[in-house]
Amino acid sequence: MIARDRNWLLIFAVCVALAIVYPLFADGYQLTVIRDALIFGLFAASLDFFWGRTGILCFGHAAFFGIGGYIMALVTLNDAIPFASLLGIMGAVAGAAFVAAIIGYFLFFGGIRGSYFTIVTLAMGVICQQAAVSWSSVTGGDSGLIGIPPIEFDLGGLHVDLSQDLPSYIFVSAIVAVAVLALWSISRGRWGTVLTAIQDNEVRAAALGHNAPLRLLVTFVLSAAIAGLAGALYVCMAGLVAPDLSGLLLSTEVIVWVAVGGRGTLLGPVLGAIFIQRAQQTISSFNPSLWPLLLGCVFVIIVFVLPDGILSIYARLKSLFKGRRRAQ
Amino acid sequence: MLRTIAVSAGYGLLPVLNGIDLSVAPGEVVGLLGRNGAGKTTLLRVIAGGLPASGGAVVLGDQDLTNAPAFRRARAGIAHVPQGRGIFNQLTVRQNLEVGTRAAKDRGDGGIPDDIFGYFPILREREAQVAGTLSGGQQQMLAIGRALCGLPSVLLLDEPSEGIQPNIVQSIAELVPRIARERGIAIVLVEQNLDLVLKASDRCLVMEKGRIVHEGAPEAFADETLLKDLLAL
Repeated sequence: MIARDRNWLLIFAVCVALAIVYPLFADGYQLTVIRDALIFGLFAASLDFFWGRTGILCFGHAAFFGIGGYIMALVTLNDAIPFASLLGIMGAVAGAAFVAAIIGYFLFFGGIRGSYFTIVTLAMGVICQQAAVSWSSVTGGDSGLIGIPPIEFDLGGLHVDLSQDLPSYIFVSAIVAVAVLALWSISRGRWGTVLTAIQDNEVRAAALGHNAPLRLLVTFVLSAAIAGLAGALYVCMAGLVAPDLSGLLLSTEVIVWVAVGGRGTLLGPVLGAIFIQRAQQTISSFNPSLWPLLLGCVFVIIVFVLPDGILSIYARLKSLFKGRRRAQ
Repeated sequence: MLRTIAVSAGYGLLPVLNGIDLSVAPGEVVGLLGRNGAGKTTLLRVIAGGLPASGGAVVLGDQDLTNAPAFRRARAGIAHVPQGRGIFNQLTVRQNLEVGTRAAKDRGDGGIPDDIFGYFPILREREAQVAGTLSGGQQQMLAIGRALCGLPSVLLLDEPSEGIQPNIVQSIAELVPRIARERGIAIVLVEQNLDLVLKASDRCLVMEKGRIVHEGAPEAFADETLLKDLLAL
């Protein structure tokens, strides 16, 4: 195992340990704050899985988060559907994946890459948000849908009811941990190696027998499916879904979370999402108009000072001290 | 057996190849000579699927690959080592070789063939090194080794001596015919370095303005008048 993988697993283990002991020190409200931040962290990890490995930026990733959220809301609000929570989650994941497969097929096999891909996906996000506003008979229009019940299901004799703070925190933490670990395993294996090769030189990868558009498409679909899962979890925890959840602002915020946390690290974006949201809540509580200004400044500073995100601070400090020692 | 039958191609409205007939047998090295702009690199790109043919056919064995995308041609057995080598700089030497094994997945065991390291021992020594930090010569060896990981039946080499120190050019000149013989690969070698191409090839073709204008054994090119006529040397 190479040192980079070992460090990643170490940081992952520390994060899991912190997540386990956190309920001992936190009250119900604090638990729900971290729980929601973790869901957005999962959303950020889903974007990073695609952007971090392929180098192609999706600027409308909130569309998949919103699609997942709306499907979950529509399924769970319909009393006629049995096993609504489980079916809702499956529908949210499948719905987001389906939309990504359709859009991704035309983009990847049509040779759309780089900034053109970014612009098209930006438009996709705007269209999704507009559809959520305009199709009010289904989506509830501007005000969205409210009264979405918490997740509740039976699995092999075990009754899972997430209406309370602690069970919902544990459930979300476990899903985020498993999903991030799974995405990391995929990224560091052969799949990730080929994606890096495609990012480096797609023509060459194809000349070595790799169906690059198909591989990019599958990665995009998987990334969208995880974003859909995050959307489904979020609306059940929040109890409502609104057009903002598929909007441009959220698509932009998730890019900032990934950039701040460290693109290509999967764990960094989760931490970035938690860190930025906590900061937002704290700063907005004494001056709401200060936050956008500070966020912009933090983003610019991170891009210049820590282009690999906050997760790279340790490595940078280490190399700094090494350099000093060598100089002495 | 690789064959191109009356292949034509170009960039936009500009025709570059005008009916190229070429056939290369297993184990044979065919050297492709010609002045700059004669269409040598374009011909390799058309065979490898990097550029569509506007006419004619590209046939490997009994498979017509004229309209197949590049990745299907690679899986059918055509490997292309382009000018500039196309190494994946961020990956290690081993990862580069692993990426190269995909073309052979349906025909081999999907692993890196051991004899690659026999041809290029330096790749074994540098296995864990990031490929972007290798020297030009080492990158060229990696590019050829990576192409061989796909267990190709055809190997297209475009200017393997470009920007490489003389002793490595010498070893490439020795390795190319050896690889062709030992592995039964049909090799097309495009090269500006006349010594290399005459030493490595079994047969030489000269291209001019998108056509093959002369064919002969390497020994025939020792004639300076002929060289002057064909290549303006």
